[in-house]
Amino acid sequence: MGYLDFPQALPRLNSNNSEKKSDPDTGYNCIAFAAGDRFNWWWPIGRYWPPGVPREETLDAFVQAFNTLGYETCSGGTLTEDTEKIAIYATPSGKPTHAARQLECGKWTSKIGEDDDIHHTTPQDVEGPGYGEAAIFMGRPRDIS
Amino acid sequence: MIETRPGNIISIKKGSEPKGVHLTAGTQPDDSASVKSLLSDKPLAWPNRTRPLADKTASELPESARERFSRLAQEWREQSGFMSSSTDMTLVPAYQHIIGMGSVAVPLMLRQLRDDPNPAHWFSALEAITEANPVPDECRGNIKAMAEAWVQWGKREGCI
Repeated sequence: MGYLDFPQALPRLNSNNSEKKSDPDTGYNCIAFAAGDRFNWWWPIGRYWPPGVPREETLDAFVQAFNTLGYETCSGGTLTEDTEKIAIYATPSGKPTHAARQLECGKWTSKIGEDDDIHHTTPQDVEGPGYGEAAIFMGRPRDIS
Repeated sequence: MIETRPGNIISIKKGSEPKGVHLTAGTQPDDSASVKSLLSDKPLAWPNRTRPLADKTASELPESARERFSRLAQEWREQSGFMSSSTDMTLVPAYQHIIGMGSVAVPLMLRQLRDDPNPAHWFSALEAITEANPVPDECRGNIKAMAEAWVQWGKREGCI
């Protein structure tokens, strides 16, 4: 399957606002990909989670997870030259579902579950019943690795 | 479905094995009741059977455990392939149905973990069915290591 095979979950994604960048890989998910990790599946329950961070499916726990990588919450996803940003998505009830990372060109990159890595134009392109909405933006100085 | 054309008569003969009716072309039907039975959608009156398996379409044959697992695994991919939440992935109906298959699904899942370079996340299902958890804490999230831990468990248990 490919990333465009979930139109009910991701109705805004299409071939005009996104493109595939890698093949499916069950070894890592969107949270790991946003964190720069292609070797682990990040999730507080049953998978890798940064040591010391509560293993909870809450936005606060996810913020703390990205705090361990130097990210701090910021106001939005506007591109700034010296800041690398991520977006954490959540359902209306506040349960985290997805994360995306902003590229230097201003586009965003996401791992769609077990499926492809993609580039997409805006953070809103992956909003919908599957992921909810971009709930929190975080940023860190771009030179941190 | 039986079709007849002018000049092409279907004959019905009662045979001894298997009991019921046979079809041959070229002679007059000698049992109008049998013809009606054959042409109807109702099953023939075979002893202790409805219709022979050979007469059933593929969709009517009982689904083997392997076939059912393959179907449910595909449905699970369709239902959960976009998800990142390891908990949400296990809550979709197809995954729950696989858990419901019980121990018969264990070797099927283990073989997939062994053979697929992109192993599916069968870990929760295996744990639910077997009540085992051979994955070391430090391997959580390393999907290939988790798969290997379960494969080794399966070999020790004689499942694969």
